[in-house]
Amino acid sequence: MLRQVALLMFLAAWPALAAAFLHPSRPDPARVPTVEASTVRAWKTPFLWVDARPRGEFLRNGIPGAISLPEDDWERSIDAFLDAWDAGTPVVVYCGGGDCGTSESVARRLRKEAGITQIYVLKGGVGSWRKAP
Amino acid sequence: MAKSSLKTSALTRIVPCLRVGLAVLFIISGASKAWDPAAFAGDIANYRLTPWLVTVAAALYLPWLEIFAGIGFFSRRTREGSLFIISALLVVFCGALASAWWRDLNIHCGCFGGGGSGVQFALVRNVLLLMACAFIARTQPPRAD
Repeated sequence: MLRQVALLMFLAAWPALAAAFLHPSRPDPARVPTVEASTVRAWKTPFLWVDARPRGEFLRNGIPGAISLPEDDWERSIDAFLDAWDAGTPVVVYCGGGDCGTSESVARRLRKEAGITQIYVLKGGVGSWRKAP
Repeated sequence: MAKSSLKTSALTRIVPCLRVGLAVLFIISGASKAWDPAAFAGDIANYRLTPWLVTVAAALYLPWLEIFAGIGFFSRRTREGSLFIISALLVVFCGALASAWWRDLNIHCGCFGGGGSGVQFALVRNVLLLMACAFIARTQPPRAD
């Protein structure tokens, strides 16, 4: 039976490998997964918000409890983030909304530099959070 | 004696039906996920169980494993292996769903690509499918190699 299992697993590996390189809708390993605002609203376990927008915008209408971490002020802000973040706590990064790439860029950097594995980008940005049921 | 042969006859009809049902279900489920692996990766990420790199690998590989395991049910040579893989996948899916239920995550199961049913319904369905696998395993005679 183990031989059958190995055979089926081996056969499945080839189209999977082809999909990894050729599928038009293949997931990008370098990207950070997105999460819907409604999904985050339902999370019962603690998580940390990170605001990727410039500090002025964060002060004006940031999500309460969020940590401001704009890319242009990274060196100064990262310490505040590391103080607030407990290892293992999921992090959700948001920006102004729509297709702004700032949150993706900050999330990538956090994943790389702080080694955070559970990191997400809020789909639709801060506006979607305010509208989410 | 007659009762026993009636039972055997019923079993010989039920088991192939279950096998075909499971095979078709897994082929359809695998194909719907293989169609859009990026969406499936998003569904897996919603469970918050694996790092993104593992999620991407799973999103690319699991759909095809489901498809081949489903197809394998139709051949005598790979039937046992298919049953083992499908049972193992169902155990893993049940574990992930139970964990999502425990953590009260408001997510779609991602069972058939593009969202799918809620966590509780999917968990009950997978437990029933697992019971079907156990039933097939108990009744199928060992293959003579």
